[in-house]
Amino acid sequence: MTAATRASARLRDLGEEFSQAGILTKHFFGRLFRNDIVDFEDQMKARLVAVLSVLAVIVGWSSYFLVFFRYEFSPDVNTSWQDKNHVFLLVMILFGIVTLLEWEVLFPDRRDFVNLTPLPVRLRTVFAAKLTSFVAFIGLFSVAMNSFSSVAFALFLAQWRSDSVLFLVRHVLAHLASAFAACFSVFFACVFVNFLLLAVLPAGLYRRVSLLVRFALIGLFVFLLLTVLVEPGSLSGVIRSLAKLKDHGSPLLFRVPSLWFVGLYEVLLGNPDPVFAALAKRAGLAFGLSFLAFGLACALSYVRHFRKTLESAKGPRRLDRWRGGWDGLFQKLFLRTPEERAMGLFFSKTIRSSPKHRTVLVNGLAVGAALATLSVVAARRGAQVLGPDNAFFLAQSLLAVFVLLASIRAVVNVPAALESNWIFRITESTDRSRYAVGLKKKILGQWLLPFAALIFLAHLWLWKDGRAAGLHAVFCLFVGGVGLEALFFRFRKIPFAGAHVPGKLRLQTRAVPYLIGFLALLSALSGLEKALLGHPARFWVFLPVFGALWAFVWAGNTRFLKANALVFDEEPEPAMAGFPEDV
Amino acid sequence: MTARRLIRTAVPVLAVLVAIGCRSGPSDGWSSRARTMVLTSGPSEIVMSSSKVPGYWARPVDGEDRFFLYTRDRSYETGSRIAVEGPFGPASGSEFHDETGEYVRMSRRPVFVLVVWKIGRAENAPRP
Repeated sequence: MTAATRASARLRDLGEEFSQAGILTKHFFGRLFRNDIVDFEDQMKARLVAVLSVLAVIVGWSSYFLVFFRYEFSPDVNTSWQDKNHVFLLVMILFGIVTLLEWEVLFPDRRDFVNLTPLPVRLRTVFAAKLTSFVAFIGLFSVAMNSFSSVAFALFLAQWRSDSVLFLVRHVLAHLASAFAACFSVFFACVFVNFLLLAVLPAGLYRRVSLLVRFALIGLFVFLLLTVLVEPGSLSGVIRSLAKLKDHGSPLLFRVPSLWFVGLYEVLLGNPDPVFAALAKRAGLAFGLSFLAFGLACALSYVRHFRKTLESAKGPRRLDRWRGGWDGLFQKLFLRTPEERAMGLFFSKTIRSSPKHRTVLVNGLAVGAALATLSVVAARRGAQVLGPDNAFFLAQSLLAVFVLLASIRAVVNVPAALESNWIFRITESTDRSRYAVGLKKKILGQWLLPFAALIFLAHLWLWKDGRAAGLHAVFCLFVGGVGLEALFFRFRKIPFAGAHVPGKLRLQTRAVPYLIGFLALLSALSGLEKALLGHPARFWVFLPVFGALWAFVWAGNTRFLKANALVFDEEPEPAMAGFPEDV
Repeated sequence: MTARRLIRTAVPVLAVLVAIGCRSGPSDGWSSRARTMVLTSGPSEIVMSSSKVPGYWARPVDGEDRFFLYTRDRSYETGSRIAVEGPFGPASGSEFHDETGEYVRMSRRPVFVLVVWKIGRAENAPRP
């Protein structure tokens, strides 16, 4: 075989590999938009454009207000880096949240390897395609998020450095490039956390711990996002005094990741400041480490998944046995009828086994935790005394209880294996209220009671007063009980087993009244609790009154379910409303 | 199809032409926007947005306004006649007072801060 023939064969192989990589990249890229939260399979493009536009407007609007009032007439004397840092912090946090939504599909799983390995595709092609799809994903989001922002910065800041249009273009490109590097590093930092969990934990434990870590990270990022939007200075003294730290050459400056990329931005603009050169080096290091994180994660996912078969045996764990025992005891004690038992078991097992439902629940709880933390931090002055006489602080536990219940209410609407709901259709009994009762008992026993215990322990630690902490937990439990009845008022569906038509809450028009009503309710309840904790004897009046209220709602629910059949196929609202026939 | 291709080619060409046309004065030598000033202080600094801004205090040869010239160049001294090029705008910050060793807020009159793109001894610059 001549050298020319060999070269030609080699070129043909490379061409084929490139075409395989192209197909795989498209596949992996498409999968990034079909995650557990947003099923983008249908109308993917329209929804993606909407999401990207919202992100672009959030970042662009913040940037415009930052730079317009400061630099339209007043000069930029090497001070705009603080505003750039603000925007980069916002972009990194937003992209962190986007990445966490992709947590489950960051790497090829066992099914991917089993499907791909029989095909004549090299492993390097698979990983190259994965990396390319990530780069495309990061590029798409970072360019979209910074599209308005980069132009706003260039329009108001470039005039102080040069009046050349080329510099204006360079300004936009420097912004986009450094923002891309920032997003890239955030993305692979999340990949690295995922990789670390995968490396350190046994496979069985990984999924559970990974869910917890995801909860903590989403909570943290949402908290950071809201803080950055409202008052970034409250995050830390470092953020408040960045300029002074820079003037004094403090090493603390190098602990703020967003500043590394601002340094890169300034270096790309030709700023000779040595601090920015050092920060840019740090950005380069972070960028390089991101590739390393990707390589390590690829190698580990290969070792973990490729060498195992799809149907590997899964032995019973101690935790499962313990849980089985608790479930059995709970059923014997509280779930008396077969319908209640079926509903309770179906609810808890679906939540446990469906990543989709777990993810919705975890994200809801994370946002709730972030909101409660933010409220406490934002009103630090009001919450300095975190005691039983601080109504604002008492409201945070109630907020957490409501978020928990609302997340569960939202999650039961999301169907799981809809085609299998025939079993409920053919076994539907006449006493339909038992289904709802079973579900509510399970939520009360499995979620609300442990949550109230958690509230008790946290407040016992904080207040060092067992009685007050106990009464607070009891109040939360009672309010939660009535809230549970209210949220599942006239609920005549089997959880996870009915088709769901979104948009029935009409949040487009009613979100603000709902929010105001909710805040008023929260305020009234926390005020009531403060009064009760001030005179604990009044609890003997409160408990029967709330008990009676709960019984009233419960009776109404039961009557309604007796008269109405279960719903499996929810119908959308009619497009046109007509007059009743008898009018 | 041909029209679209034509537009696709024309846009970058047009952008390059505009970019070339919009460039300020000559890249070496002084542009028509150079100003001649006399430094009224040695190397000094003000504080803006909590950052220390290095430069000099100066006044135009034919005017009374006070300018702060933002530059890192520390090679000039009080009374130097310099030519300077760059944009300027009003700003409020804090001025460093040598006598007291303190920063005092500049609130009496608007102070113009000039961002120095280019600075040199006035004898090398074109006459204003």
